[in-house]
Amino acid sequence: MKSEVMVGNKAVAYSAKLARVNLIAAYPITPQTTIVQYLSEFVANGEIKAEFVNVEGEITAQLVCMAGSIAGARAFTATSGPGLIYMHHALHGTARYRLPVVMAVANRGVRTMGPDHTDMMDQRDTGWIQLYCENNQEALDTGIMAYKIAEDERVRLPVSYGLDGYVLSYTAEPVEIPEQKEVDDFLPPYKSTYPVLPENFDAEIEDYKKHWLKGKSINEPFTPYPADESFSHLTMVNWGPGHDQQWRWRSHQEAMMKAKQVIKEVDEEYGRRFGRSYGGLVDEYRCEDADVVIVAMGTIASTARVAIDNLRREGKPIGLVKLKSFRPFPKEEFERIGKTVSTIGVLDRNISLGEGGIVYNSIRSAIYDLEEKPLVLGYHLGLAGKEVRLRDVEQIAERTLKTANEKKVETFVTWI
Amino acid sequence: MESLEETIKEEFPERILKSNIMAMRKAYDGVSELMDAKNLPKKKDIKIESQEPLISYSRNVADWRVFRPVIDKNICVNCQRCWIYCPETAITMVEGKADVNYSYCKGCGICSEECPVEAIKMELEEE
Amino acid sequence: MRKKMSIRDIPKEEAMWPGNPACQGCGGSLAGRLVYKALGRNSVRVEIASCAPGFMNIRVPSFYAPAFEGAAAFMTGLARGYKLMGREDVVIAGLIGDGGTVDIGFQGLSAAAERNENIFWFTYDNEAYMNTGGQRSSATPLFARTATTPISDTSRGKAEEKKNVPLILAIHRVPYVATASVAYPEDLIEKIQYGKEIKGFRYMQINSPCPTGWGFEPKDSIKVARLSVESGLWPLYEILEGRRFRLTYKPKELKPVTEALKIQGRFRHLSTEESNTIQEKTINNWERLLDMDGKEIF
Repeated sequence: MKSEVMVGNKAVAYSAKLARVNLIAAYPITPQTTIVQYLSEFVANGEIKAEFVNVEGEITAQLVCMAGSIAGARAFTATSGPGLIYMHHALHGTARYRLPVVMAVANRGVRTMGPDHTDMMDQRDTGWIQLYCENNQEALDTGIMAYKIAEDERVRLPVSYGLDGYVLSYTAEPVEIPEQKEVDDFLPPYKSTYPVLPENFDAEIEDYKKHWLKGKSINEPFTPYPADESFSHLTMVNWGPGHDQQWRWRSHQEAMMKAKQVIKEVDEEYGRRFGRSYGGLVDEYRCEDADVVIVAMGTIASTARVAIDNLRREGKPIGLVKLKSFRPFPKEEFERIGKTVSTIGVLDRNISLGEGGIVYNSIRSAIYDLEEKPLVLGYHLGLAGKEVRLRDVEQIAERTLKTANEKKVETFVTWI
Repeated sequence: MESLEETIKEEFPERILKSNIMAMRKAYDGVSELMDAKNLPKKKDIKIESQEPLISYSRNVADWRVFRPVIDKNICVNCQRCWIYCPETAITMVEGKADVNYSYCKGCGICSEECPVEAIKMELEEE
Repeated sequence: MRKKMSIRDIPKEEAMWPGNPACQGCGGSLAGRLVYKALGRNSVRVEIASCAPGFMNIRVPSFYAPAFEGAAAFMTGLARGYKLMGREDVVIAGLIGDGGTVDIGFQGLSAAAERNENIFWFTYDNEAYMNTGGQRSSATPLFARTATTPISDTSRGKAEEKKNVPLILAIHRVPYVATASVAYPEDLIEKIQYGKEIKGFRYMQINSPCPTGWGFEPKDSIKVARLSVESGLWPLYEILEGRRFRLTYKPKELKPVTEALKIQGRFRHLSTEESNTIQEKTINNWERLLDMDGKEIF
């Protein structure tokens, strides 16, 4: 196993290389630009065999990946902030067509250069799986796991994974690079199941007719293909009586729910093979006997571990829940945790204007049905790239502990 | 088959009932075995066989006609203009004469307009 | 050496079932029929929001690109994907409306041309956003009435001339650019069969009269298309390698544009002056094309 000190962008490039992607759509945007530059070098010197497309904009990047994936390519692209919101239109397409495209996002605020999570959060309703990484090693590992999750038969959904811009993307850390052969054993080649070959057209239509006739008054998928919506030659009669327009949303939601189990399995298998795992949907740090937990995502979680250690040394019963999977949201994990703690402090490096912290509100919703509900507090920090210091996280932890002791809330939401 | 017929009777209005049931039967009979797509020959020349168009399962465009083209085969000189100008292949040349497929002809009248020898007349469709 | 094609040379095989929900007399439907007849069934079709999804009777795998602006990008992805699976023999073709070509799709179109993607792009040009009720696009001709360029004393239909996409694409130095008309199927099919053998970015813009949007009876679709060509409103030409220009149909004398325009309801409001303006511009344009014919233009 090779080890190298490298910036997060290079770790992402390595993960795409090891995952044997063969279609890369490239467009520059700070702070992910060097991801596609590294990849272009890998392709130029033969380390990756891929179609490398220098596109003219992010939405094209996503569409190229989408179409390539339909045609059987293992597709990859990367973007950040404004590039991601430009891509929004196409993100819906990739997710709705159930295509296992993987995208790295060097998290950058939608309105600023500095890192925060508003870019990926803004896409939370597109139906993509969203994972967050706290260091460059995790970025590389997640980049490989992402394909295994996406291409799983139970899932077949695109995966985006975030690494904080600049803080990870342009900061060097030591990273272990798995062996190609070991990754090949872990991740078999991608097989598209979509009807794309002209010579099969007639047989597929005949097949489809039988399914259509059967489905006349049954609200079920009309075809055996998970993304028939993209194939006009198969959907032309989909609007007949008996057709339930809602079924695609429902089945997409079901796939998202199934993905929870798949993410856990893949993480566990990765741990067995490569010696590193990340807890599945969440990673609980020193939560065993905690009365209070704080919840963080991305690099804030990494800082928070130090804060937790410091406070534990003082005997305070506090732990960290690092949220790795934001979509699908680990409701069950928070229900479980909510039963054992009195107070949760949620660190949101994001905001949904008009409502508030996104993870904050999601956790409040997750614990709503518990008989004894923990208090849930929200904190905004790190937005627009504002620096997150150790003392900021300690301050948050102390406040949350204070609330736990007093058993009452002064302010629910605080801006750090 | 009976339950399929029942469902069709429930869903569709009387006048297209017969053609839809016929279409369904034809499709069902036409599939003699399930073909495994993976075993299909790869790059062979594709032959067009007369398979029932998929559109007939959900729409009857022939219903749109107000006028129908009637071809006088004695006048037809096999120039093939009506065939090439029909927007949807509803006209074929059969033994050197133009022939209209009334199951799909929408009655647009292009064939009649383009025929150089006035072999095609548009006649009012009877109800 | 390229032969002039006659109607007898046109392939008999159809790549289209009969029957689709397009309007009666739809020029776009005929364009789709002719395009896929010429390409053969070893091809695929990309479509976007337009009337084209209504041409669902075309018998090749058809992909609906889920972004209106994304036809070019989607075709690019397919072309690369098919190449990766060793099937560059499959023609990646798109049947795109004028809106998705010349307006919202223009960025992607130019980029795909610049990258010389191995795709064959067909624009069926009905000169407006017909699927949504006939709104003005930049392919709408001067003075045409559309749903968003209505007629009054001060509003005289479209105020701008038609955007010239073939020339714009030719200057991208792509292998093949052509115009065609559904009234000239021999010309259209011969061009496609020629372009089919070329690798790289190929483009064809097909004049596709729309009875519903242009305001004429369905039976006159071919007549309108023919008169547009015969009067010089829609010249038939091709440009090879972005340089060599060739008119593929040269009537000895152009018919007056009024013959084509007066059949169409969208031009019914034309004043004599407006009519003369169109006539003048058409003659000037035609003379310029005659000048370019047989020469290297860029």
